[in-house]
Amino acid sequence: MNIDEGLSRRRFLRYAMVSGVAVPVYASTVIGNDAQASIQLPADPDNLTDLEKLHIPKVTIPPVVEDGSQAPIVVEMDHPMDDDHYIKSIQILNFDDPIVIKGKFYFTPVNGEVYVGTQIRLDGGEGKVWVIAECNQHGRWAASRSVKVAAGGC
Amino acid sequence: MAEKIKPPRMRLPRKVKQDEVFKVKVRFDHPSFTGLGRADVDETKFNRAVPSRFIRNMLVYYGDDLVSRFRMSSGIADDPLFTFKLKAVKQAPIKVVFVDNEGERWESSKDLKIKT
Repeated sequence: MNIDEGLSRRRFLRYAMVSGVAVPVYASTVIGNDAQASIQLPADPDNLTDLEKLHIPKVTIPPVVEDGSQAPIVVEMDHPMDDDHYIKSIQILNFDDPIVIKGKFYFTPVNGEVYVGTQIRLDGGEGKVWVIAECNQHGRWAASRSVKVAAGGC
Repeated sequence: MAEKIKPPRMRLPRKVKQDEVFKVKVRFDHPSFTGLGRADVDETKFNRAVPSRFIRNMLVYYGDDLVSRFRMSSGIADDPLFTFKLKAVKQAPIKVVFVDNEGERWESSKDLKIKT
């Protein structure tokens, strides 16, 4: 499984080590596809399976951001928020920025729906914002959006 | 002297139905500095220029229960507006608590009213 073709293995591992995702990703690439230990990406983004539709986060971010100090982002999911099956957390990252981890939002079933909106800082130029959602039963799932930032905000 | 930071402002729907999922909006006028800078424009790498200042945690309490937590870095914007959802399981106050990286704490609370 290849996380991002534009990101070198060495660079990804360096940043992933900081964000605490290195071990699960390494496990998925080297050992296999254990749902609890790996970050899962859709096999075919145009034809998502039912499980993928439920677990891949929907990320809304403008493709072009004028002011990188105030980039709006909304993450939502159709996943149920039952006591025994819910999304535990959503993490927002950008490996191209000097500040890689933007934040991590922890949910409980009392949230009812997975929805979080905020504004993040992005460095100038082209980059990719990653969102990792963690389900209590089906592990971690990732989605990304490419973004161009006119004036960097870091 | 540094400008005093005001408590966060929270917006809830006036009334919600039992078990309805509703949006909570919280605006907090808090500065966010990464503290990073470049010595000159042509430089590719950032250096630590000034001390960083940012919101570290947002805690959401529904009644006495901690129902959500947002752990942040200086990668969050200045004066952020946070939007998230909650399910109206009981009539109880909703409280948000912010703690920044210097340990300062602010909070705001509002009562949630459920239609009977």
